[in-house]
Amino acid sequence: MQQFILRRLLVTVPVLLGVSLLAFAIMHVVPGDPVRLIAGPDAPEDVVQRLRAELGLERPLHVQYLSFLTRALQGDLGRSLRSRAPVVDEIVTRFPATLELTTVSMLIAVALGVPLGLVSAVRRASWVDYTAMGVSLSTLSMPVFWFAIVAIWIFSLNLGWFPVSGRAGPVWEWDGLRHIVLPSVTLATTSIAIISRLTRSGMLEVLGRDYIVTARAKGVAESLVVGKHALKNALIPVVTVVGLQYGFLLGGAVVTETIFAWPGVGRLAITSILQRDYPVVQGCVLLVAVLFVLINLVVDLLYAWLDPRIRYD
Amino acid sequence: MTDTWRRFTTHRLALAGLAVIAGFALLALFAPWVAPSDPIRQSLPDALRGPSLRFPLGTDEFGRCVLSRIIHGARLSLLVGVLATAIGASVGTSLGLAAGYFRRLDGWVMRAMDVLLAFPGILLAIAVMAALGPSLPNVMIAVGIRSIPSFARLTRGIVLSLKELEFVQGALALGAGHGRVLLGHILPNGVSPLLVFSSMQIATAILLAAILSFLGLGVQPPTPEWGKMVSDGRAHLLEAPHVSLFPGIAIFLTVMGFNCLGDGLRDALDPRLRARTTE
Repeated sequence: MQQFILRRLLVTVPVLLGVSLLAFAIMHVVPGDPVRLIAGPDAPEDVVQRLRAELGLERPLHVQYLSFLTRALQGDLGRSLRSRAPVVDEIVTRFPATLELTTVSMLIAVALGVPLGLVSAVRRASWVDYTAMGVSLSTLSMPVFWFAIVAIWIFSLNLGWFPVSGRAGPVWEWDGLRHIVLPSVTLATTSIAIISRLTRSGMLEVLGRDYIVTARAKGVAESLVVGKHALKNALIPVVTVVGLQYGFLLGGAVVTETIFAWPGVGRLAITSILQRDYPVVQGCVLLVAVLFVLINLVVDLLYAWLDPRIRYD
Repeated sequence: MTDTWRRFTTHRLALAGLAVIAGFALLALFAPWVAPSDPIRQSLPDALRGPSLRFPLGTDEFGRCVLSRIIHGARLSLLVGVLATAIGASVGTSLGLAAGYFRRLDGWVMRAMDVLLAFPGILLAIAVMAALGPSLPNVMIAVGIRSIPSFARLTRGIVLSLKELEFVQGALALGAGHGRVLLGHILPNGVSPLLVFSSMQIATAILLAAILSFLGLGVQPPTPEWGKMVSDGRAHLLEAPHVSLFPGIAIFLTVMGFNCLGDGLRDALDPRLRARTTE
């Protein structure tokens, strides 16, 4: 296991370097002069020169990259061009909101997705199965922003059950809970579909195995066969996907956060892109990608721990 | 071939998907003749009207016919879906072929693909759009780049599984060059999975392009684009929900069509996979 962890860690290093290179490149592939774009077309020459020097853009590219990397490793991602606040502070103040939204969404996705897939597998080719799988295929084809708008239209504007947007305090307070329902359910829809489909196929595969036949032949109760013998093994790939989806949602909540005006990192990324606040864009991209790589690493290690065959592959 | 065709034509979901795609493709092709009104012409007195005989799906805030804009928008969505996937497929497949066939390139290419995969798809596309600026070709590039690593991984896997087989070794022994072996012997045998994957990728590409437009980073107004139409209707959800509702249904149907077609193609081209997934 130690060798596997070491090997896996070694593979992560070049990927993280590549990620930093790509985040660095964002500002340098902009067509035209990025400083002119940031300062505006009518900015006086001395302002442009000052900004260029401030951003260090007059130095050779490799020197700029090395300086970017060194500073990033020390937790310094520069300053926002708009608010003048350190990029790290901008991200840190918004990260709890993203983490909260993502975590609640994942809990909803697992709580609904696993039982849905389980019932579909046990009642294979019944109306329950067809309905569940039909709904999950439809969900995967539905644009998340459209789902959000329809939800707002029905539950906020017509029924008045939930607020249209915003975040109000932590999730365990009534107002905070009311605010998080629509965005978290919206964000969870795709994950519910993926998790339920995977649980179903995993269960179907496991239910045909010899040890399940043996358990049934021994007279083990059906609920125990399904819930203990089968589900435990069928859930191994589900664990992986839950981990990957969690990492994906941390960075992929951009749309949901924008629609529901949720003050998280995704919304910060979009606002900064629209305002051409490149240091903040770089910071958000870097943070999300690094998180995604690290979560992938944890999922791989977890998978190897759950299924020893992986380690020897 | 006849078996594959029979399996495909008896797959009801795939046929339904194909019918939906064909319907939208025909609408896109004949848009100027089929659309009841000009999709760009504004008529403020008609703003935000509900569905009627004159405007079957109502009008938007500028009094433009929603149905006409959906029909013209089909051109853009299908074009972006197909061309973005073509960009991803051609670059990704070439990289995958090279990585799978030439061992020396494998590590470098696949690490580069790992870097691209480290970005959630939406964020990568948004970052590319931020760098390149909003325009139709840039949307295709941004959406296409996202699918390059997936195509590369898939192709590499195909090459690795085929290159040790007798027919490839035989071709090499007979003196065929690497290019000929790759393009003439290996690639044709890996077309099936690539075709299935491409169909599903078109669905994802259409969704992603709609997201970019929705966020204001895609095609710019007044060009009719489905994602942008949904976004524009948000401000009038209470009095005119149809402005957002109908373009969303168009996106949903098209994406569902490509997903069903992909499912059907997979079942028709690889019956073993079907046995595994439906058993």
